[in-house]
Amino acid sequence: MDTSDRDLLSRVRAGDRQGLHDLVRRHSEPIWGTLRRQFHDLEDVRDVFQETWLRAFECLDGVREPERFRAWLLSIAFNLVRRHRRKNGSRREVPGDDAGLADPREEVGESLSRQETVSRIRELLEALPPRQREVVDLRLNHELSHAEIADLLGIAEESSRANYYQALRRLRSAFREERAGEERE
Amino acid sequence: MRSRMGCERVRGRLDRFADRALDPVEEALDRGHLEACGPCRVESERRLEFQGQIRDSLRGEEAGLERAIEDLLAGGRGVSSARRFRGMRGQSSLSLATAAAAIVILIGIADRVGGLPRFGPRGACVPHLEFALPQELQGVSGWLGTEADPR
Repeated sequence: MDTSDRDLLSRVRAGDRQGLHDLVRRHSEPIWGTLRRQFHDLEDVRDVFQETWLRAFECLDGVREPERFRAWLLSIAFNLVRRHRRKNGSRREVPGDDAGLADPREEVGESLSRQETVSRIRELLEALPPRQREVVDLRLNHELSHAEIADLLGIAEESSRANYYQALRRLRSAFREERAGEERE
Repeated sequence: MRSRMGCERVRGRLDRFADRALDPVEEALDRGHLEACGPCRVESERRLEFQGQIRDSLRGEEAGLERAIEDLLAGGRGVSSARRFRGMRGQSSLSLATAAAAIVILIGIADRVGGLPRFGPRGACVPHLEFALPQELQGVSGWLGTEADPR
């Protein structure tokens, strides 16, 4: 059975080195994935990633709700991303308009290999407006609630939901259209 | 009972259903429909699978991750660390340097005694640790970003 974040934090606070490693290992991949989509430069990603963890270590007492550790960690990461951008002007530019994304359809692919599918979906994610991409990332990658996402991004909870559902429709539609295009060729 | 209108209604809010965003009555109605309607159930399963694939896409960008974790757990050393701390003077540089030093110290001590030291009376806030900075870390290059950092 997986150890809860609450247990891990207790272990870290009690001086358990393995607990510290487990905590870092558990949360690093999703955090890294989020940061990778924020910057072009891998060095920027590494900087903010390390700084996020150092800030977290600096004051684990700030975690009032251990079961929401991920959301707390993300709030640190997002603040650092904003600060880093202000300072360096580094932002991963992605197309943010609706070009190429049509009305929602309901079918998704079955025959592509999973790896190929994942790779294509990653490209489609890049084509989403930034806000929608952020919300999808926070909901599916980090499994935050819409209330937590709203807090983190400073938007209304209903706006988080709307962005999320719209993003899902766009992704399905774009994926289906890609497949249809391939079948015509 | 299955009906075309029922299918349209259910499919139109499948995302909200999967997101547990429907009110309890709507959710119960849709759950009942999905149990009775094969095509809608298949569509629901497809969407869940697609969401799983999106999740995989979001998590799969691993290049550089292992190195970053290793650097972090080794005390934050690394090419980027020096760059980071150079830019962190002022308001936060002291606390970050303290935190970074504390991690090195924690891990160093843990290596010697087989575990992390207990935190101070105020809990797990690293700056409350009462450790002297080891001499080898004082004012030397680097990643602690002290004023002695030549870069």
